[in-house]
Amino acid sequence: MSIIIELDVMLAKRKMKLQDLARDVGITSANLSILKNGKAKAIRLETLDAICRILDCQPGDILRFSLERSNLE
Amino acid sequence: MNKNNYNQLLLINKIMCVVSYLFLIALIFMITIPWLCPQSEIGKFLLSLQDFSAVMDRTHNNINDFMLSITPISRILGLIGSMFASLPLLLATIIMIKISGNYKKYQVFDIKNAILYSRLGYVYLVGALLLLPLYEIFFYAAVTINNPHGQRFIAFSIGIENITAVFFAIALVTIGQVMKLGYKISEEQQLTI
Repeated sequence: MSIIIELDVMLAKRKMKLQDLARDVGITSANLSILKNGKAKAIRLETLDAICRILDCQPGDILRFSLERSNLE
Repeated sequence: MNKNNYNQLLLINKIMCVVSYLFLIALIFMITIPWLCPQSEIGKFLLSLQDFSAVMDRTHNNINDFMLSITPISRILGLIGSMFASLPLLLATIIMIKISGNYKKYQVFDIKNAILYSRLGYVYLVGALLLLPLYEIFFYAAVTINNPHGQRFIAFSIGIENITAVFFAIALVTIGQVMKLGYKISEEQQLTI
């Protein structure tokens, strides 16, 4: 997929652990880990809303489109 | 999965396994015995279970006369014909055993089962369109091979049995494809965060 998830970058910037974010968002850390590792097929707007609110960022800070990766596929 | 559902799956697996293995043994018995021991009562009985009335009518032969005049070459032709006829059932039984094995491993609406159901359909499709006519060709050849020149012939027919088998084969392939699609949808659902 040509969408790159940069959740780990934002977590590092906010000095927050994955488990803490998962707890605050209200999903399991296993599911958040799937999202962080780019294995997820889709993300609910309410999950994105919660992540952005907690990390105080924009969706674009977490999701990025890579044309190179798209061309490779 | 709760324990009750798992127990039901185990029960289905056991029933499918027992039925499939019994069917497999019976099938091998029914293919080989009539051609290996054609003069025996059991051989005659097993052969009479197969629908040869049309063949016997067209060849003006009697099943008992045919059994008495049977030669090694007609035995081989008959055995090959029976194998062609039984091949789809044999493969289907093996596929059913695999499916029941997957049920035991909690894999119910799994991609493996979807592929196996599709294969089951393709096996019946090939059986109905190719193997059943081939079976008739070999059986006509087996019955008429000892006739004088000019009275030997081969023939095949495509009747309501073949059409019914094709219909069920297409239904099975469709079920397999729908299961594959269902699996993809459920996988996407699982990976939606």
